[in-house]
Amino acid sequence: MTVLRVMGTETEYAVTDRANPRANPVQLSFDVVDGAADDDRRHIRWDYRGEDPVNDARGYRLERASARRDMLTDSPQLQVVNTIAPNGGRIYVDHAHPEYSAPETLDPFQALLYDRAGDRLMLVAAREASVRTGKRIELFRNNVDGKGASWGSHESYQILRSVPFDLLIAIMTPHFVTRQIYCGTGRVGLGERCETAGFQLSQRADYVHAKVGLQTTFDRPIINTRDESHSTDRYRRLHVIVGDANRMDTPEALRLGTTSMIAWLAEHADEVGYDLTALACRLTPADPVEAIHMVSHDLTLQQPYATEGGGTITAWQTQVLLRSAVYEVAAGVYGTDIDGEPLWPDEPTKRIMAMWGTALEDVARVAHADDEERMGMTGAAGRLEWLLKWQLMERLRTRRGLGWNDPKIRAMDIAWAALEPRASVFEAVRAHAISLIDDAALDGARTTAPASTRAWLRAEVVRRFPNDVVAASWRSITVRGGDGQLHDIDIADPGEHTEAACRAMLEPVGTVDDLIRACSAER
Amino acid sequence: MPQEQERRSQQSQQSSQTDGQETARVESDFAEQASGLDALLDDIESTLETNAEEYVSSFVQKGGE
Repeated sequence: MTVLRVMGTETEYAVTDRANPRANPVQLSFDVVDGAADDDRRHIRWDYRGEDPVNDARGYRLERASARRDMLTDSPQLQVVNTIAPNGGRIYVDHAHPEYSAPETLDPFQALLYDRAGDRLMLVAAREASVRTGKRIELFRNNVDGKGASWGSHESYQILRSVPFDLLIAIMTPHFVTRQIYCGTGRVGLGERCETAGFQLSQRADYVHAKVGLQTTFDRPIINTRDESHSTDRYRRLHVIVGDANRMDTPEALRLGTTSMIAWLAEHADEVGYDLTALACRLTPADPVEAIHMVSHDLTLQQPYATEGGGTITAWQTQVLLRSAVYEVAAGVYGTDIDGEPLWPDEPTKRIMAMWGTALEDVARVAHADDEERMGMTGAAGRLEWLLKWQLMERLRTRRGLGWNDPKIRAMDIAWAALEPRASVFEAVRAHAISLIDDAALDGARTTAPASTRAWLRAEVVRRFPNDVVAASWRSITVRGGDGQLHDIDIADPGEHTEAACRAMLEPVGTVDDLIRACSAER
Repeated sequence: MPQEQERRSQQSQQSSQTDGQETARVESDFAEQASGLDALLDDIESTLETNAEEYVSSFVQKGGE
């Protein structure tokens, strides 16, 4: 694996009823999911057998009796509404938010594309729900309400289980603390309840309170240890909960791409004798929770944090060193060309490494600029979401003489995230942000699954045999055969069951019994 | 699968070329767009709810995940 690995996003949306500010968000979420469900697939249940939210990657299990009810995501009676999206993803109610889990993809650009396709699907679902219910349902792609509540935009990465989890924690921690300098969406207000007026780089940072942990809804950790691989024994799934919901493409591609490359680093450092533990020690903050808050609040981008190893380092320096380590190990693993550039084995990796470099140049330039210069940095603002948001707000503040806690500025932050284009501040400035996705691809990704993962077979079986599919999950599809019995189609390996592997097998299949026979023959 | 990879790599090559072109175009376009953001602010202000205070106070969510 390189930057190419099985990965995907889960996005929770804020939901409101413009006509009734007191509307119950759980009901609104159910309305949206109902709006997303086609008549022929609304009966399909989610199969929770593969879910194990109390299994901890550190090697132990939380007793179910001591788990808070909101950690038991496999308990179906808590969340009954669920639909399989036509692209193989999943749309469902998670606590008080409608959520879209993108289908499994193989590279960060594809993962970005399918996350954006989810925005479109959810927008259409919200409109449909408004028509059906007479409410004015609106969705927002953000993570905070400024009054204490936060919800997630999660990432998942398939990583070789042979990498010790402690090493993964050690090297991912400094990455998650510092990647916000180019991945941050920007946020108005400091503190969970905007206790202090101001602007910060990240939506999520203030809501992180632990270094490592199993939980996602309270006392949120930098490293989430939920060990629920949805895959074969060879892999673990690193579930990342510290990221921001991005509207801009570049920060999201980088969020996915750089994290995948750090995973690659952990998988390959040993091969060339690189001492990753020493690097981690040099970069890891003495207090990672305090550091993630500080980095997000530091608009100078130059404030150092104390490290575990006894030194100090800035977020930017940490990112430079992480990227250098990837280069060093890649030079050993792949060799280099005459310019010293590693011979990256695939284009997406080459592209992510170049974009990572540009992002760090952008951040360096912004760090050395005063506010007036920052206002004119249009190139960097096309790639850094927090900067574009800041520029716009700073202009309005200057024009109207407003403080950071003025309702107009806070309203702008919320409306930045609105999915409905006519209500969205981001949509108004979209032309200023670099787009990595074309409209035709986006249209296709709403209805067509990624060809190169098991999402293809899931989507294809649901498309062709909707009435026979009883339940689906990430790793299996359950169909009712002609004999009335339930049959599981095993799709445990995310990299198999692709279009290339399965199209020919499905060609002669006409009935669900043919399908069951073909799939068991396959095994 | 080989076909698929070929298609993917062609797409990627196209996109990395587009990246370069995009950066160049974006830099020149954006020289004018600095003032463009100012012009857009009028539109944005009208997009925002007339009662921003109410809009902000009614945006209350529950925690998620």
